Amino acid sequence: MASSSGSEHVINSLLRAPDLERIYSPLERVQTDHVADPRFIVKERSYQQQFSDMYFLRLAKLKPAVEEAAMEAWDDTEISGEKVLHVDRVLDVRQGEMCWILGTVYMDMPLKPNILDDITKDHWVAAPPPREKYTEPGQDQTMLEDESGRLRLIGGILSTQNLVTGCVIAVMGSETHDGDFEVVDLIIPDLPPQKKLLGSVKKEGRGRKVALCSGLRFRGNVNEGYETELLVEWLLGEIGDQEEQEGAASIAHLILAGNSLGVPLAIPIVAGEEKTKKYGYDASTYNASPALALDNFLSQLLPSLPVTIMPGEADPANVSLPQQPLHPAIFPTAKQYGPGTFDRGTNPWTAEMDGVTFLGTSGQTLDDVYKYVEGDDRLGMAERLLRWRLVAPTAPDTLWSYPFHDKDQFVIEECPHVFFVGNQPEYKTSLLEGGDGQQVRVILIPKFSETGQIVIVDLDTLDVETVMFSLRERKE
Amino acid sequence: MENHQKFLRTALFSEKSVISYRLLSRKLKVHVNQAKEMLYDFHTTENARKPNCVHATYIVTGFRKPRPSTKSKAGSDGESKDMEMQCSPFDSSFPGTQTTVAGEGEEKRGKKREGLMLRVVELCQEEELDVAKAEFEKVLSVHVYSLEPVPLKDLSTLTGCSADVLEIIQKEDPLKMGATYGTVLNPGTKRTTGRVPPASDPKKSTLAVQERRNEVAPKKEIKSEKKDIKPKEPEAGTDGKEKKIATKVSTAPVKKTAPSAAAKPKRGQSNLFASWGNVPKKSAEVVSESNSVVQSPKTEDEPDVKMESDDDDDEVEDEPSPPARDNAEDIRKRKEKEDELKKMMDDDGDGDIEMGDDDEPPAEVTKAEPLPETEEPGETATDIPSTGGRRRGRRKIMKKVQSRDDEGYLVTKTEAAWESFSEDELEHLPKPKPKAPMKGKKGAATGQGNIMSFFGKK
Repeated sequence: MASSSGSEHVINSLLRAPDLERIYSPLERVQTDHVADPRFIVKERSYQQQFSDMYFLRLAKLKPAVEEAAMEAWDDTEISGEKVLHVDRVLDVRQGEMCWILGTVYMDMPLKPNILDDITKDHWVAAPPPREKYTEPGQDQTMLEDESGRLRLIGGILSTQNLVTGCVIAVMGSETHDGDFEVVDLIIPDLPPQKKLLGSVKKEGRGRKVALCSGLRFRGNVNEGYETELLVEWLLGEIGDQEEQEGAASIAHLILAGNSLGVPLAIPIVAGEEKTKKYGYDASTYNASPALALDNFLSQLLPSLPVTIMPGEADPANVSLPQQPLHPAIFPTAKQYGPGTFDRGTNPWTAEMDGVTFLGTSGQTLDDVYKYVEGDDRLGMAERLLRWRLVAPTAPDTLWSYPFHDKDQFVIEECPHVFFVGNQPEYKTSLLEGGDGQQVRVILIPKFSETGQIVIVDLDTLDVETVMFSLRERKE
Repeated sequence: MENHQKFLRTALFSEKSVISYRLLSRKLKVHVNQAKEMLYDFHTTENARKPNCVHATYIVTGFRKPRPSTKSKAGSDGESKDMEMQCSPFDSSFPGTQTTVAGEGEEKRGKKREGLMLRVVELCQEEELDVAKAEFEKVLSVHVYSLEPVPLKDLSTLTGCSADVLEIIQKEDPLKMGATYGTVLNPGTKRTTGRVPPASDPKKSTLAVQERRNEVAPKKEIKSEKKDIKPKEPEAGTDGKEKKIATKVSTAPVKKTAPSAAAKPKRGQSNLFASWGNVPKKSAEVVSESNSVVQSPKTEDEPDVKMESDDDDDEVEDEPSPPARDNAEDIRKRKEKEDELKKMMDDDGDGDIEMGDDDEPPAEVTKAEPLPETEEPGETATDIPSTGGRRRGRRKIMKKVQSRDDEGYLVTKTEAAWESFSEDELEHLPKPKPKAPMKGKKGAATGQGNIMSFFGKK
């Protein structure tokens, strides 16, 4: 998309007298085939089953992969003349014997919300404000559990792993006198197998790109950020010169990764306070203006650009993951456009665009993992999600989730090519490469309402670029 | 040429309005790039004639170094530092896997490749243009965004301009006009229906939303009216249940019966009902269409349309209802059903159940349904054939049985009876209770006659 020539002549190409005879060549948008995967659609919601099924299914699903990796790494390993044995069940570990076991991690953190505490409490006091982190040094314990029981893990290696509840791991070590399991080494599932990219099959010799945007937060006010207007004009290929417009024409799809609607009131959103919003949605105070603004936004874009909209934490969809598609009634005009042009996606959402697999969430998954671990490295956390093969490891512990009973849909069975997380404080990206030649572009999408940035991914090279829309206010 | 000069002069000098290139292109039906040139042309010529009579706002696009001050984009150095801190423990922890080593190398490479530049589209006023351009590492293009009679105090005032643009384009068919304005065309755009989206200006739709809210109340009234009417139409009976079951089983049978019903006049009512889950604008045309259209593949993906049609069918089927039954009983049950439905609708409103799940509410209604229905025939029926494949059991209940004895007196006996129930119906257990007062009433009615005759005898 970058222009190669930057001479004054080219720059000012539009600063010239108009000529009615001049012919402007029409631009056509590049096309991609995209197929959304319906795996996160929950058709029949039944709440008769227990959440424990999810952990069981997850362990069953991930066990073979971890076992294989552990077998490869630890088989025939001898530590101080003692052969390391594989023990099937957590409860069968014998004291002082070197062995390796696998199971699901459970983080026991005093600061973590606990449903049992809520139930045993006699009366309700005002709920404490949501915490930024659950961590409390020295107080947190890491447990490993399987169908048989639970074992407390200790060892320095744990602190480097930033484990969270729900991930399936294998650990090697031995039980101490206190009954704890001292971990010497640890293995996680790592990147799942990936479908080979078909290479660059450019259509009409043009690059194909996908735009990712999150946190539009339409408020429907008069003072709606004008950046969104610039975004529309840019995506429609109206802003800029011919070259800029051609660049816009190479964007084949726009993905809105959550939080497209903001609070209707003119209260500026303070970062970190969004959490409280999901409670207490009151139908009687419903203000349609944000939805109408969003609908206007979409109805301008849709004739020219296919859009997928995912629900986010602040959007009017169910709170528990996977969030189901937004109701079409929210989009009176935009819903005139059919699937393929206007898609209402789930959160998490996965789709294939011309052979490139996308998997992404609107951010809750990563925000929740963030609470479990020290530090600010969200990109690393996102990468770890892939290595754990779990989109939402902390569901259903601290992240509301549907109790899947036939399959844990949060398990990543096939490695995506693009893994994105929406509504993050800032843009970050990396290209992750796995042992079997997997290549994943990991992207943290910033909040548009705060940064004015969108992310453009090239489907052929998996390169990314950000475009920032800004208003230069006059300095007095 | 003269045309745009004239237009801009009127707009800027007489009407004192702000004109953006988009608005100009929409007003004059020209290509956006031409509109940009027109604005530039007007700006230079008019200001040459009379300095500073027109003020311009520009768009600058290009590449800029990320501002270190803004948190919008992290400085690349901070980023890679993070990465290393993050990655190294990871590596050390996996002596067995070569994965991470390769991964890290690639990450670093990727970081370098992902340029340090930030692509920027910036809106700035003419006074700031040079400063803005200087800040860019590489400017790709500059053009006039808008002209205004006086410098803009706040760039957000341009929102008015975009609202005007929106108003114009919403009245047009965007697929046809795109070429004129120079919007990127998309031949692959698919519309759900062949219809041109209705022209909707934002004000109207806001109003409509409010109207819709008001409609909720009238709807209820109409329902109660219906209830009142029912006794007069003896046939208004059990078809309700049938239709509900039909909806549950599949939409196909509904489809078959619906056309035969052909009760068009009823739709006036169903309109309101249908509007419940949907946006008002659509209601009139869509509802009238829906009967014929629903089953066509085109609209199949639109859950709300289906929802409408289901409701629609409900109403339609009311008409050709077959046999007469006990009216009072039916009215009561209908009321119950409606209450239940209403409750469910309310729940839908604020719960996290998506309203699009149209199959859900009817299904639940049917679950509750068989209970009263089968009880009806004998009035004392206790054995209920249970519906689903759920766990079920039998329970002993006390039933009141009324009969008239030889002397014409009404005798009420309490008898033990067995009733089967499924686990899911547990919550509906209290159901039989409301029945008792009904019967009591009926009993009283006949009882009163008896008393009269008693006095008569005297």
